[in-house]
Amino acid sequence: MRKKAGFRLALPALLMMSMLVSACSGGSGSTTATNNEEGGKTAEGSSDQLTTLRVLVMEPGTTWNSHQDSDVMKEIAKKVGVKIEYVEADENKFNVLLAGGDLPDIVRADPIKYQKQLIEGGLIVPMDDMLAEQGKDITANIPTVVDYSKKNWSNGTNKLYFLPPQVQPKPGKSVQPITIGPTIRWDWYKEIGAPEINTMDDLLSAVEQIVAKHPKTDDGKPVYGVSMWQDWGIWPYLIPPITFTEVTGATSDLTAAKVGTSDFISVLTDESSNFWTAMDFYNKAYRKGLLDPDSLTMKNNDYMAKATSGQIVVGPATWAMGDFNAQHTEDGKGYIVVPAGKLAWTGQVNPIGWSDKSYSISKSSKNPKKAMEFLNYIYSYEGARTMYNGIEGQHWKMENGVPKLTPETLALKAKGGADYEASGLSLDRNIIGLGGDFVNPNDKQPIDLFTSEEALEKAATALEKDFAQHYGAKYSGQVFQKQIEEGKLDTYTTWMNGLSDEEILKSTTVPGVVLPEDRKKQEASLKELAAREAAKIILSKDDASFAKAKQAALDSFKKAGADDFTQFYNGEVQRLRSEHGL
Amino acid sequence: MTFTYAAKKQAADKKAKLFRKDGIKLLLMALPFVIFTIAFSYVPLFGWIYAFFDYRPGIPLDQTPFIGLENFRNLLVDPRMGPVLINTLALSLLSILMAPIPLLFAIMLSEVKTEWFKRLVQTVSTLPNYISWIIVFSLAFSMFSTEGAVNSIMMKLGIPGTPVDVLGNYDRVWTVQTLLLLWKSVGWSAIIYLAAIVGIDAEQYDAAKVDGAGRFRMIWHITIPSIMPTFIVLLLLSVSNLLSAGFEQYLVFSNVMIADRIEVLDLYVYRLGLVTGDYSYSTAVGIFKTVISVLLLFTVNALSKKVRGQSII
Repeated sequence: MRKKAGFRLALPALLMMSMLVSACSGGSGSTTATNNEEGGKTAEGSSDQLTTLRVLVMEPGTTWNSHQDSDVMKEIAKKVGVKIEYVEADENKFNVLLAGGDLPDIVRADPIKYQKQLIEGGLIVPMDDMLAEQGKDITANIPTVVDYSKKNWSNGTNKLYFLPPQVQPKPGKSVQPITIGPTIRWDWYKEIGAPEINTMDDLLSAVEQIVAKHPKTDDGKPVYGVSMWQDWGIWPYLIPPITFTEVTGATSDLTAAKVGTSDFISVLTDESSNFWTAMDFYNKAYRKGLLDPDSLTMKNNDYMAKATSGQIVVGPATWAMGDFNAQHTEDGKGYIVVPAGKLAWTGQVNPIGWSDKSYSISKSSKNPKKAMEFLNYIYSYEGARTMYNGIEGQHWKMENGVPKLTPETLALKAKGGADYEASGLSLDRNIIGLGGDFVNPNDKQPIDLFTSEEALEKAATALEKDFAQHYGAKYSGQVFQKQIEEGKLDTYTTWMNGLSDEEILKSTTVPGVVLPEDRKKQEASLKELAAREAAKIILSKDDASFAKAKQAALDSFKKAGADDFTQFYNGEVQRLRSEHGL
Repeated sequence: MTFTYAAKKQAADKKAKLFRKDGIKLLLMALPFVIFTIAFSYVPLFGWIYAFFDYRPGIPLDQTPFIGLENFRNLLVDPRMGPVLINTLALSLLSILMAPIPLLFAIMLSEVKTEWFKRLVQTVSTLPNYISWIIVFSLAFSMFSTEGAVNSIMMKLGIPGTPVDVLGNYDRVWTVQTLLLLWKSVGWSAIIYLAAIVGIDAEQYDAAKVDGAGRFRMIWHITIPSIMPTFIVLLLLSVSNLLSAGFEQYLVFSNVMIADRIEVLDLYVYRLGLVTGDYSYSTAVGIFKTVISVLLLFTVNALSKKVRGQSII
């Protein structure tokens, strides 16, 4: 009897305890555990003990963490003594982490958007002191970037907080396989004679011919001409038309300018913008029955599943075609970016790197010095090359003072697919500090040896070879290079022809516009509005209803202040340019 | 002497009442739930303070500018508020209109005499309650998307007008969502009525039988009146929840084609806060919702007291 009473008392007490524990610890439990573990490891300080550095990346869907045993990771562990783990976050999760103040060791974020919160909130640490000790390669290899960062990304404190990856002051000599642009099912496109695609209408007519020939996939699923997904906001309306319009955005999705110029138009109210070009394209596709009927309800993973099963004829980028190519490495079927419109997505110079993915070290990191050592490694010639091409002696060898990739490495790359990915070579370019075309002064070769003509030819996949052959080229990039040289296509650097190095540096280092808080809110609500209006416009059944929906959308964009936003943005651009001496 | 004794006894009785063995036990048993309520319903109320600051994640509150009631003033002129309130009220009212369905379902179920069949139906109908909305969405997508099971079958049968777009149908959003909600909740809501039906005195049915009442007479004159108080209490409670139409369901089923008609108040708060990053304003909208809900609850309670002589809180 007594025992029973004891039990009766114990049960609620237990319940209460467990609730309290679960309410108080929340999600932070696991983090603390890892941190303790890390702390313990560094305290011992022996070289065979690895420090785990967690890196926050704002790109859901990376494959980094699944290749922890790759040769490249082992080499990083050997040289720096760290293990790099990605913590993926979208903007929502990042905001929650910001509010909680508990950030992973290294944070990869956009300083233009977040410097105020990160620095004022004391969430990241200045790197200046550590730079002298642990950051010698950074100081030596990218001094311009360090100065630029102190000046523009320090929230006015003139300290070094952010380091952007992929620093590359000059374009490379050869054109690598292009990854963004109309990515079409090559075997089908070749079958209809690979007609020239100068406009988005040309693209649609090619798609129409293909769908007429191939209405179903091999396993009987319907083939759609074009499709898209809805969980990336208005991305599907901004990026795909760039190839044809040569108009691209800078620090806001609502304004855009011709590549190389600084007169920004409103994406929403200027009818020549990418948004309206896309509206026209998708509406025509819809009326011709070429638009996937789930386009406006699907999320990215539903879309990817369709792409993987080969149901889509053309997409916006090679990475937007699911695993189709990887599953067809043998038969050479697959999606490839074909020359189209006016712009080839290549030749980018980034004297200040990919600033929207800049690295900073968090205050909550237990190992800031180790984090700095790792950052130094990715900006060193040795480290960057290891991350692109693997280990010297194993993946590449020095021959008469010139580094050369081994035939095995080239074959591995040519085969592509899972084996190549598992090697860790060029696994995530975003993490590498120096751009692939950055020239290593010690051997006068680009850091990424895969960019040499010989490597490009030998490492081409079966699909790329077939594509190149059709156009009489040796590798896929050469197809584009020929057209660029003929003046048929522009690149991101064509406008720089005739400018001196100094002029180029000057005009590519103008600080980006930082939107104040009220403009950020306006931008967010206008983008939301645009996504809603877009659905109505795309689903217009005839010219009259298209015109009506278009007018209604234009009116509502104007009413919500789209023009006012553009005016503000242009004003800021002009101010920053004149302050920069342009 | 007697006086002192009586006073002592009274005091002792009082003490005994307060600290009866049972009393402590009961108190201890209730305590977890009290703590639970405080931890998850009252502690978060401190978060309301953000509505009065121009908050940005990462910057501590003491360095954040105080803006007073500005967010509440903005609320009154927010052009999105109107449509959002209409959506919320429409979806809530539709679900209130559906309230008798679980009741009818429970009555029909209780009339089934085959025990195994009754149990099977009850299990099958209760199961969807345990499926999370995101899974329901995946199921719905594989059933109703243009390539989904339903459309495939209809197209194979050659039914004209297919494929039918269910998930992106602007004109039928409310209907589709209400039916989904009904599918998910009907079995679960029926449990309370089934319990009430079991509690009805069996003698009443025997007496009715003797009087020659048939099945429908017994349902009409005994079952329904007996479970009516339960129904009324639940109905009144749901009226006070008028502005909480639900959240996850509409979050996962939302897409650009139907966004205008599916955005309910809770979803709007979520979008303001987590998508556009306007935490302060989103908190203000949340407070507004809570205040209206509390007012509704007390009104309904007063109404119930007046009409039925019984209050629910």
